[in-house]
Formats: sequence, C-alpha cells, structure tokens
Amino acid sequence: MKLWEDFGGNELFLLLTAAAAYLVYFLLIRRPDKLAKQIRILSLLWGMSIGILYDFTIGGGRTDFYKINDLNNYEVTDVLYYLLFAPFGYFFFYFYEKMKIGKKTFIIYVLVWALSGVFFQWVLTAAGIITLQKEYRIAHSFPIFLLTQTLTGVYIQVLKSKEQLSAGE
Amino acid sequence: MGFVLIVFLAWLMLMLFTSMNKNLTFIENTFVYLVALVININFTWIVYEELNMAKISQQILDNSAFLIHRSITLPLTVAITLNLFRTAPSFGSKIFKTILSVLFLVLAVVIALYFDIVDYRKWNIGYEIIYLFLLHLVVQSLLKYFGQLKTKGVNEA
Repeated sequence: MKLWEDFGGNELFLLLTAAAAYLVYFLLIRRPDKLAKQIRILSLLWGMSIGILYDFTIGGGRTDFYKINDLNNYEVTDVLYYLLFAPFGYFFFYFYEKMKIGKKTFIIYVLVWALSGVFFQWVLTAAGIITLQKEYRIAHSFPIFLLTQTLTGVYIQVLKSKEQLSAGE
Repeated sequence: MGFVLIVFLAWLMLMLFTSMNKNLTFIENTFVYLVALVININFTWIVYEELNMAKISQQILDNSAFLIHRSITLPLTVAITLNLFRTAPSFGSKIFKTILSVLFLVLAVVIALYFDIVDYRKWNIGYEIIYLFLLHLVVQSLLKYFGQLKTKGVNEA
C-alpha cells in the first residue's frame, strides 16, 4: 500500500470534491428535516459499501475494468475516494424522503440519479481519478447505476414501512 | 466442484437468514451485513492483492466462487450469528455460537483451498481463525454503538 504514487491534480481534485460533498452533508444534517441518526449512519455506510463492492469486484481483481488514482494497488487516496461515496448515500436517502418519492416519481428519481452518476463518473475520469481499462466505457456504468439505485430505492421503501426516516425534531 | 459447493453454502446461508426468526431489527441486520462486507472486502484485498500472502484463482468460476463467499456467505454468516447472540443466555453461549460460526466459515475456506480457489502462501488457517474471531468482535461492538444511536436519538428528540 502506498500513500500515493504522485500527489498531483487528481488527488487535489479528489480532496476538494470530498470537502465540498462533506460540507453539503454537514449543512444538511443541521436542518430540522434531517434524517434520524441510525438512518444517517446507515445511508453513509450504504453509499460507501456500494462503491467498495463495485470497485473491488469489477474495478479490481480478475476483471479490473478501471483503476482508481495512479495505481491498480491500494493507495491512501483511494480511501478518500471511497469516503466520497458516503455523503452521496445520505443525499440519495435524504432527497428520497424530502421529495416524498412514491410510485409515480420513483422512475424519474432513479433515472436522474443514474444519469448524474454517469456524469459524475465522466468528471472523475476527465480529472484522472478513474482510468478505464480493458475496453470498459463510461456508458457501461449506466446499467450498474440503474440497478444499484433501483435496489436502493426499493430498500428505502421497505425501510420506510419499518422505521421513521426523519429525525422528527 | 469447488464453485458448486461454495454456491451451495451461499444459498444455505441465504435460506437460513431468510427463514430464521430475526432478533435484530431490519436496519440492524442491514448494518451488520454492510459492516461485515466492507471489512471483509478490504481485508481480503490487502491480504490477497497487496501483501500477496495468498492468491485467488484466475479461473472464471473459481474466481466467482471467491467473490460469492466474500460478498454473500461471510457477511450473512456474521449477520445470522449476531441475530442468535440476542437470545444467548450467557457470555459462554455467545462464545459457543461464535465458534460455530467461525468453524462454518473455516469449512468454506478448507473447501476453497482443496479445490484451488485460493492458494495460501504466507497466510494460514490459524491467521484466518484469528481474523474471523476479531471480525465477529468488531462487528458486534459496532452494532452495540449503532443500537445506542437510536436511544440517544429518542432522548434528544
């Protein structure tokens, strides 16, 4: 494991993006309509787990469709990349609740998130944080985002039937 | 054959988890599964890919068997065990259930070793057992903290 191969533009971009995402997260959890503590932790963990699961399944090992930062190996800045997924998990849960997503709006919500995910991946690729390999294209991520976010939406629906999502303060 | 057995174990855990009387809540079960998944993915990556203490087969079915065990069987086994913890009358009972859980996961590893799904170089079963015990301990501790968040949230409200 290395700290980083060469601290350059991609690491700086990653640092700034993570800082911006966490700033938005901390502002949102100060709002009265914030999610309950357990839901908050779960949504952060959910976001991070999805990123780690995909990256260590198709982004590494035998398939190795892309590399994160400068190496195929684990760098400390990769941890920062995975931590970047966490607040997006919260944003997905928060706006799902805030926008009162239901049967009629579910498709639009998931579609917007999937397209945003592809766009964000394009930005990360352009910034040199993700390097695609072995004929993998950004478009290939669309069905992955679509599946992941549909399952997340379905999970939230089930969760809502069992728990109150908002803190209710 | 190794792939078949590993998939069978994953199916077995999935069925046991689905059909058992769960003592953890829905959100707690999700938390346990995700924490065990994240720790295990990172741990196996460091041991297998970074430290080269063991190797995973590059043969497609064997490699898939490893991924299935890493991402489904192991986290589900931990989740089942922690559900059983809630009905454990004593500390000894919890230890006994952890031992059974670790033994089951070691059995899966022995199958993976026998069928060359994984190949241990500087890693061994002893290290694996220590890791599995520590994994149960860490996930249980984090679950305790997670459970307290609900109580704190209620008190604050």
